[in-house]
Amino acid sequence: MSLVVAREIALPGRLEPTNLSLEAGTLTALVGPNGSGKTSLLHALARIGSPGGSVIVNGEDPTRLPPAMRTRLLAYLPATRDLSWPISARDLVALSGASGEEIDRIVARLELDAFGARRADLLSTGERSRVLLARALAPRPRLLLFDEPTANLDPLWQIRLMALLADEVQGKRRAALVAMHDLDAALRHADRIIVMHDRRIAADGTPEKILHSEVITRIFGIERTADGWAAAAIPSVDR
Amino acid sequence: MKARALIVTAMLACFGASLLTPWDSLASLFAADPELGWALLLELRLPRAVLALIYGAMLGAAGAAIQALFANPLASPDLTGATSGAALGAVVTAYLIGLSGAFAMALGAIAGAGISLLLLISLAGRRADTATLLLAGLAISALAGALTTLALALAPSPFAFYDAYAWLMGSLADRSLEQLAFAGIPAVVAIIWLASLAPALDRLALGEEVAESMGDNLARLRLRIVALSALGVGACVAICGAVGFIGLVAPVFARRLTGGHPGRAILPAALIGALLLSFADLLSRLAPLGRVLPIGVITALVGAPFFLWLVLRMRWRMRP
Repeated sequence: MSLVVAREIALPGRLEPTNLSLEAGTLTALVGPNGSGKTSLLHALARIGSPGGSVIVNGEDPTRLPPAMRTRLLAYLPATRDLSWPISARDLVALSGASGEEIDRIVARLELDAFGARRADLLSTGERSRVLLARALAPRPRLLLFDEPTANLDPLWQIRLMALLADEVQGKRRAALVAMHDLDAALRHADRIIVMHDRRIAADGTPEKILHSEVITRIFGIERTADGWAAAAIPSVDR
Repeated sequence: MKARALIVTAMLACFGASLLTPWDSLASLFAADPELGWALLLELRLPRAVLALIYGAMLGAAGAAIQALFANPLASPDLTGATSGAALGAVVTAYLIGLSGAFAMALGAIAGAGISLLLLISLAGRRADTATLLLAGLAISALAGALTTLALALAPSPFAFYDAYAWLMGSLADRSLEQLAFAGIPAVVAIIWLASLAPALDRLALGEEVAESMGDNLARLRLRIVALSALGVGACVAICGAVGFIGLVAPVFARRLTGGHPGRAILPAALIGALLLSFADLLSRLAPLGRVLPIGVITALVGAPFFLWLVLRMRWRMRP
């Protein structure tokens, strides 16, 4: 049975419910134009708002667990990086309920040692991103639901982070669903790509199959050329 | 921990000082009529000193919880209109409806504070930026203030204005043990309950979406904080009048003891609030002006410049 099984969840603006399952050990890229429903899908899986239906992660229903255990089942990383309070970076990671050892591990992996004692609200946006990633990853949750985790990161960390995420799930009873705009990174790091369009899953398959099908041109209005991606010559039918 | 011990010690010292200074009250215990001395201590000094502790603690705890909820260090019961809403509720109950018992006034004040806070949430939004929050709070305070004046003008009693004015400016003097119970019991319940929400409010520091993904029911949390703040602050306002700025100042210092965590600052903020109001009460009686100053005047005289300093510091920090 799949690690994550979501049944009959409702996305805003869509009548028919969405079903989705994720396999253990896989990183799935969630792509789609702005407003296509990527964040809504992540919210529904993280049980934010009242999405209806059910989500079962590793045989457990997260809504029946108290916060300290729920952070070990799933982690949601929002696209916003705002922090209001002068809490130190390490204390912020500790709000996940992770143990000291778990915090040490993730702080080392994300190379946060240097600013662990500094106030997280005064860090740069990119540094703050890494602290918030550490918060999500520290308690080793089964399901990672990340909304544009590489936004605001410098090029080196964009590459490192995707590799780190792939490494965190590979061969383990964990799965990641990562909303992203970088199609090349999706091709490189993801085991599977889900394409959202008009608040529903429009395509779902291996990176090779998806990125070389007409789906990308139809939905994004771009096409592969010798120089990389370019605006499609013919306006797409759906747009 | 050391800092908290220090706060408690200072609080007890202030408590003792408000009980026993001026020294004549202590002397009266040993004077010709010790029975009168005890009566003085139990019926005048004790309610006053305990009220100062409880009202101050309530303002500190509610301030910390409201700031954590709005993710904004410039929120507090008085700046969000809860205090003036409570005053309006009490005035309407006492002067227009004609129920001037402590219980009825407390109920009216609690309703007034609750309505103001709900109005603020619907006006300013849940995660309000500072300007919106302060403007919405100002509008609610102004409206409640105007309605309070209107209610007093329409009141049948010709002494309503004078009566209410002395009470509205905040006073802890001459309150009975019964009045102490009407303010104290709801306030203590509210403080303990608010403190139990600390872990959820700390998680809220990670943002509303993350808190929800961790299983916190934000609608319920919001409602609880509004209801508990209204309950405690409302009951205290009904008995002691409006006291400003403690709810703003105490959490700012409390968060320095909790590494910036907004939720776990609730109890330290209660302790600091109790200390501040006890100290203000002491000042109000010891000020060499030949008369007792309303306690709300003292907290505003000290609190308003502090508020300005906070605003300036935030503006300075936001400068690119």
